[in-house]
This record gives sequence, structure tokens and C-alpha cells, in this order.
Amino acid sequence: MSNQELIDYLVALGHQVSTVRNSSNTDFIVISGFTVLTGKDAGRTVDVGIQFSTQIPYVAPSAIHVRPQLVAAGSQSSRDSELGSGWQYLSRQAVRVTSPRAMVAHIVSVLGELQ
Amino acid sequence: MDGPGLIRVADELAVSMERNFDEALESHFDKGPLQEDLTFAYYRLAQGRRRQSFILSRLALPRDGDRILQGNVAFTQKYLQRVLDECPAGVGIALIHSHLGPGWHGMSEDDVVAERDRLAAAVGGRTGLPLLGMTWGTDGAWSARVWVREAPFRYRRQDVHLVRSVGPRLRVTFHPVLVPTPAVGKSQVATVSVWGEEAQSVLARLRVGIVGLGSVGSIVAEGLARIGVSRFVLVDHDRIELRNLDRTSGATRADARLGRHKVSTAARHIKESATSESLELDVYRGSLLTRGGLARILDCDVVFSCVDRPWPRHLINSVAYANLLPVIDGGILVRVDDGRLLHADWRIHTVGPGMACLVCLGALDMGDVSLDVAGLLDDPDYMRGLSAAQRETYARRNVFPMSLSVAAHELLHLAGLVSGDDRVRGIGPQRYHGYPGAMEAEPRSDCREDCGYSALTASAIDLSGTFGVK
Repeated sequence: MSNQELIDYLVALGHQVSTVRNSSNTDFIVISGFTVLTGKDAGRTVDVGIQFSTQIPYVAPSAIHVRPQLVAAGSQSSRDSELGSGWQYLSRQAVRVTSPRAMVAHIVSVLGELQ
Repeated sequence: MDGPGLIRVADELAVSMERNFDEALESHFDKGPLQEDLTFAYYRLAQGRRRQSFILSRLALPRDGDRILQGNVAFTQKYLQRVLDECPAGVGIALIHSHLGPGWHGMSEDDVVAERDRLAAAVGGRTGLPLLGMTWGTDGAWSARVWVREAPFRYRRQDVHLVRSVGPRLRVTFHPVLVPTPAVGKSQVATVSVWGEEAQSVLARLRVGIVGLGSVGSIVAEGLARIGVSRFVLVDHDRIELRNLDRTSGATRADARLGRHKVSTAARHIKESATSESLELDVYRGSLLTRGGLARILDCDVVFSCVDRPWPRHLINSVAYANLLPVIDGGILVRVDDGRLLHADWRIHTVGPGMACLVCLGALDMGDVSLDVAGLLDDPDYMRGLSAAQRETYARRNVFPMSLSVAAHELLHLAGLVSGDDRVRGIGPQRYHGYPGAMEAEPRSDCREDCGYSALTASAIDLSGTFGVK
């Protein structure tokens, strides 16, 4: 798995995907208009940011980033995001993410489990 | 002298192949006692600090009519052209042929003509990489050389120091002059009496890396020196502190007072303990996660992973497969509650081609790698936010006797890797349970199908970009 394979998979699923570089020169994959499938936010559309992995083999990042913020600042292992204003960092380990499909499942799970 | 478009060839050269690659060649060359054979193969180049390694990555076996078999053997122009046409960018070409006798082989005049005059310029011009020539002996021994461009259409032969066949057993053929067999000294008689002169002659000539010279690594260093290992690469950025003295072999109060580097203390202890008549020590006072640290590991034939941080372990795990480099690793997990020991486990395993990787063994957690890469394991706020049980897993507790046990079994894994004797190392990964006091040995296993590490096998991919340029 690679960053590009993840992008290709997301595009193939029909998502609107772009790449963003923040002020610290860190690259992110941004999915615009991602629909939350389950949980308290089911049906909402949010933007999701996934930091590029610089590792070989791919190491899934330790957080996903969402816009708008979905939980109270500082709660549920959240903090301000390096993606900038309006974004929220949700610290969540992704242990068995070795394929793009697993990454999408991880995103769906993280967003669905928020309280 | 290097030619335009050709890479510089290092003074020290090695060839590595997977064991199953070696077996495929053995099967191809098995034509009876009167017929030699040949094949082309592709290699990828890995650059260490002093050594270049030619990692055999893919066979390009001949088809019908691709070579002329008349006792000896010659390739056709059609075969060569196909191999040149199909060679991917950044990949080199090897010509591999068999001889009809055992042991390390020199070159006949016909061999020289085939490689130097028929191939070297064609291959170098097409790939920008030197032709690698290899010769197989009927006992599985290898010899190898590269052809270095000195001037247009003029090439000189440079012999390869050693050829490794890497799997659950590490087989190494050394160049008899460049890396001669050392004599067994009186101080090694007892050791040699157990695993034999053949295994000892390999152990004595391997270059062994130790990453992390703390509790386990410092003991491994002394143990290697005592069993006759003579070529060491030591990598650690850390210095001795008073709190290390209860777990670090060879460290003294003076080392702590002076804040000596752990690698310096270990190097001194190796010199004091060595049974080998000669010693080669490459001491690196820096992290593995630097170009200098990674390059030194690529100089090695075997690496002991004695670090507990997930990120460097992830890197070592990648190198094990990408560069066909066996890695011997261990870990200790001690759980305490309010100063009372609850439980202690430790485990020892060898990873690399033909064996399951650290992640597939459950000895490395990708989530922890992710946290370490993100710097969260050094973030007090993050650590405070973890549960007590989670924090305990990152406490990295151990005591000297536990480190001794892990180091002892790691050393036996090396002896078993070289000798191929499971009675020395056990049948596979080992887990010791402090209570009831039992060692379990698991059958050797492979990586999961979706393992990203085993997918790197023989790729020789440059991993330095994964930690930035330092």
C-alpha cells in the first residue's frame, strides 16, 4: 500500500480527493464531502484528512483529521489539527491498516464511534 | 576509474540472494556430472558505508535455443538481447554459470572472454551498472566478481568478498583470499568443539551489527566477542548514565560519570573479551534513523536488533527483507503493580527472508510505529492521556538476568542460523514465561499474505527517505 494507492482507491469509490500541503510542508490526502455512515453524526458530510505516510512499508498515521470539528475540543482524544483552522485531530491508532480498503473501514469506524 | 554513466564500485562487495532463489539455481544447474549451464538474472544495488551489495532479485532463465550446451555452455545473442530489453530501469544484470566441481571457483579464460569481452560493455551501456558474474560449485559454494569500466571497452575484474544465501539458514561463501579462514585459537577450542570448525569459520568472518548497546545489546556484544566473532558494527546514540549500570555489561561508574557513549563502552568491552586474533570495529555514535546508521547496517551480514523503540525496529524489519539481511531480535515485557512484579515474559526470534517478520510475529505493533513516527511516545501530554495499562506497555522494564537470558538465546539463534542446526537455536521463535518458568518454541512461520515487509523482499529499496535526511 502507498499514499497514491489510497488516493486511487478513494477516487475509484467516487470520492472527491485532493492533496494539501500545510505550512510545515506536511502532505495530507483530503476527502471532501465524506458521509458519516453510523453513530451520532450519521448522514453528515465532513472533510477527512489523512497525513501522508513517509514510511516503507506504509504505516497508517496515528490520527485522522476532520472538518468541521465533531467533538468538544480536547475530548475523546482530540486536539487542534495541523491542517489548520476548522480542522480537528482525532488520535486513533490504525493497527491493521495494510490496504486502502482497510483505511476506509478505519475512517468509517472512527467517525461512527464518536460520542 | 569510473566511466560516464557508470556507478562507482566500492572496494568491498557482497552478493545476496534468497535461499529459494539459490535453490532454483541449484535445480537449474543440476544437469549431471558432465554438463555446465548458465542463466541471466537481475540484481538491485544496495549502498552501505563501505560495502556495495548486489541483491539478486529475479531470474531470467533461458528458453529453448537460448544457449549452446556442449559440456560447457554459451549464451546466444538472442538470449542476451531479450535480457537487455526486459531489464527494468535501475536494475543490473548478472550472468550466472555452473562449474563441474565443488568449492569457490576462479575463472577460466573462456569465462573471462564471455564476461569481459562479450558482456561487460553491453550490460554496462544498457543499465549503467556493472556486469555481475557468478560461478556455482556443485557443493553450493559461490564465487562472484563485477566488471569495472576503466576506459571505453576496457574492463577490469573486481572479485566479490562474499556471497550470502539467506533463509532460515544463512549460507555464506567467502573469497578465500579477500576473506581468508582464520585459525582457531586456543581460546576458542571449547566453542568449536560444540558447533564445529565449519560454523566457526563462518561466524568468525561475518560482519555482525548490533543496534542498541543497552542491556541486551551490551551482553550480546560480549558474547559475540567470546565466541570468536571478529567484525563488529555498533550503532547507538545514547550515553551511559548511572541508571544504566545495573543492566549494561562492561559499563563502569567512570563511564557514567564521564557520560561515555554506550558504543564506546561496548567497543572497549569487546576488545577485552575477544578471542579472535584480529578485530574490526565500526563504532557509530548516532541513531539508526540517520543515513550514517542505516549505511552501517547495510555493511553487515547479520544484525542484532537490541532497540525497544518501535520506529527503529520498523526500519530494521524493512531492511531485513529489502536487503536480505537476517535480524535477530528479542523483547522483554515486565508488568509490575505498585512495585510488585506481576509477570515477566521474554521472547527471541530471527526474522528475514523465509521467516515471519516482527509484525507478523506480533513482536512489533504498527500502531506503536505510527505513534513513534509522530513523536507521541515522547509527548508527555499524550502519555498522560493513556491508561495505566497502556503506559505500562511503554515502560520498557527489565533487569540484568532477564537481559542475560534474552541475549544468550539471541547468540544461540546466530549459531543456529549459521550452522543450520536447530539443536542449537531451537525450531523457531521462542517465548519464555517467567511463571511457571517455561520456554515455548513455535514452528517457524511465514508472513501474512498482505505483509508490507515481506513484499519488500530483495527490493533493496532506499529507506533513508523514511526518516528524512540527517
